[in-house]
Amino acid sequence: MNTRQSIILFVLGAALVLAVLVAMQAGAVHIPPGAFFSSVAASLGFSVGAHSDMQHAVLTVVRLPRVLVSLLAGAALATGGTAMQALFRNPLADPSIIGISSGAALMAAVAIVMTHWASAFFGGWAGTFALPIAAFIGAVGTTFLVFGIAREGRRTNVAAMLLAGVAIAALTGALTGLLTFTANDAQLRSIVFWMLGSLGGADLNAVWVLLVAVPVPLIILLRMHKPLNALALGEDQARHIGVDAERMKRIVVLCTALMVGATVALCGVIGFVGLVVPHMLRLAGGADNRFLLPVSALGGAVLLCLADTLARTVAAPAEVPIGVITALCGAPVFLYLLVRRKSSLQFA
Amino acid sequence: MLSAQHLTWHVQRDRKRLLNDVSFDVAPGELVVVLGPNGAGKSTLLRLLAGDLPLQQGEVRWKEAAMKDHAPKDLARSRAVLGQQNAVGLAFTVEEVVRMGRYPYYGNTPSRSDAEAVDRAMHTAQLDALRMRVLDTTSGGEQQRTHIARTFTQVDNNAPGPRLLLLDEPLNDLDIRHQHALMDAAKSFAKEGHCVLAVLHDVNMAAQYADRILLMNAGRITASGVPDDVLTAPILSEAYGLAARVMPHPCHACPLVFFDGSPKQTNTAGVQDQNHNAKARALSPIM
Repeated sequence: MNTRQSIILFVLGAALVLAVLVAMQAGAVHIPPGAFFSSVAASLGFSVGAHSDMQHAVLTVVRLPRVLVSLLAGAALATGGTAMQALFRNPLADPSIIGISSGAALMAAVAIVMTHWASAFFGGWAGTFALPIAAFIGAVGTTFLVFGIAREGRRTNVAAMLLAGVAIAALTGALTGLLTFTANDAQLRSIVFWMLGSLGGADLNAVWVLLVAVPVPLIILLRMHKPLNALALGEDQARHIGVDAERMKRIVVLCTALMVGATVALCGVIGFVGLVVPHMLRLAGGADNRFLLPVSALGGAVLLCLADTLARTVAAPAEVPIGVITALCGAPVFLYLLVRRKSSLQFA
Repeated sequence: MLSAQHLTWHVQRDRKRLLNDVSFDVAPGELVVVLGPNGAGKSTLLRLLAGDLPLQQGEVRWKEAAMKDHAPKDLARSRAVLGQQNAVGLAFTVEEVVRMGRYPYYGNTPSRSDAEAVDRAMHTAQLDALRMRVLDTTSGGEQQRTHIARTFTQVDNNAPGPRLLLLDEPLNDLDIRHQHALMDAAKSFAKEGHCVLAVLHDVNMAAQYADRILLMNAGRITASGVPDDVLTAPILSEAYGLAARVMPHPCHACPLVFFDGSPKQTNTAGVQDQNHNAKARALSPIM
C-alpha cells in the first residue's frame, strides 16, 4: 500500500470512530458526551461521572444495536459493490446487478401482501419473521437464478450474467408492480417504505443475524484481492497467472449474495452505497483491491452510520427513509466527481 | 520441453478447420518463432498451447506431462503467456499490473523478493518513470511494455528445470528500440535453458533472433527449420502471396528479406518481372 492509500485508510478509521460517537449521542433522547462516556464506563464496570438510567437504556437497547447494524450493513453493501465492480470489470456495477435487491423486493412485497394469509396459517410468528426471511430467499434465489442462466457448461459467462441480471430485475420489478397494484393502502405504504430502506427495525436480533451473515463472507472477499485484481486483465490472462476464475466467480457471487441478501432482508433496499463508495475510493486511492476492499468496508460503514443518524434526527420523531438520505447525499457527490474526473473514467 | 502433437482444431459452428494436424517441439534453450499470413492459425495455435481453447484433437505436453495435468499454481510459475488482448478494466497503475505477474508467488502480501522481481522487470522494460501512472492513460507501446514486464516477472524464479514463454505478437505497438530490447530479452531467457515460442509478423526480426522458424499457412506448418532454410524466396512468396527477395544480412549471419508491394502473379514466372514492374511504377509520375 502506498502513502496515499495508507492516509485514506487512517482517515476512514478515524471517521469510523467519530461516526460511532456522533451516532450514539444524537437522537430523540440527546445524550451529552459526559453521560455517554459515563454510561460506557458503567457498562465496563467503572463508575465515572453521571448518567441517568434512561440514558443508559437508550444507549444499550436502542442505539447500540442500531449503530452496529448500520456498520455491518454499510460494510456489506460497499464491499459487495467493490466485488461486483471487479467481477464485471465495470465501475457501474453494484450488488443489485445480480438481482439481489429486485429479488428481495419482490419477495418482501409478497410477504407484505400475504401477511394476513400467512399469519392465519403460521400464527403471529409469521408476521415478525416472514418479511426478512422471504426477502433473503428472494435475494439469494434471484442471484442463483441469474448465475444459473449465465452458465455455459462448466463456465460462467460474465456478460450473460450482467444481461440476465438486468432481465430478471425487469421481470421481478414487473411482478412487484403487479403486487403493489393489488395491495391495499396500508400494504402499499409498507412496500414503498421497505423499498426505500430503513434501519428502524434494528434490534439485537438483527445484530446477531448480521454478525452471522456478514463478517465471514466479508473476510473471504477481502482475501480475494488478488483474483479480483487479476480479473481486470480478462479471464484468460487471469488463468495464466494461476487464478481459478471459475471458482472465484462462484465464491464472489455466493459471498456477496449472502451478506448483501441478509442486509437487504433486514434493512430494505438501500441504494447508492454499493455503487458510490467503491467508486469514490477508487478515484481517491486507485483500483488495487488489496486497498479498495477494506477501505470500502470502512467507508460503507461510516456512510451508513452517518446516513442513519441523519435519517432518525433530521425530522425527529419521524424517520426519513435511509435510502432517500444515501441517494440525496451520494448523488451530488457522485455527479461532482463525474464532472470533475470524467476524462479519467474508463468503461471497459 | 514443449511438445505439440497432431493438433487439429475447428470452429464448432461451421466446422471450419483453423488448425490441421500441427506437430512440433520446442527444446530448452530454443527461441522458436511462428510466422505466417493472417488467418494461418498462429494465434489459435498459441491459444491452444496456453489452454485458452479446449483441445479437440491432439495433445500438448510440457516437461514430460500433459499440459492440463500440471497443477495450476506450478504451471503459473513455469509458464507465462503474453496475449494479444491486453485491455485492463478499471484504473490499475503500471506497477500494480506488473505485480500481478508475481501473484503465483505470494499469498496476501508480496515478499521482498517479489518486490525486487517487479523492480527488475520494470527496469528492464524501462517503466521506472511510469510506475504510478494509470495504465489506461499511457501509450499503446507503454501498455505493451507493461504486459511484457508482467510476463517476464512471472517466470523470474530460481526453480530448477526449463520455463516457458508464449508470446503472441509481442512486438505490437513497440518502437524499434523496444522491439529489439524485447527480442534480446526473449533470446537471453531462452539461452538460460528455457523455451520461448513467439508469434511474429516481422520476418526480419524472426530471421535475426529465431533459432528455428515455423511457417504456417491455412492451418498447417508448411515449412520449419533454421531461418536460412525457411526464409527463402520461393517459400515466402508462396506463403504470403507476395514476391520475396532474400539476401545475406550485411551485419548479422542471417537472411534479409524484402517483399515487393504488389500481389504475386499466379505463375511463378518470376520475381524478376515483378521487380521490373515495381521499378516501372516507382518511376511513373502518376505514382
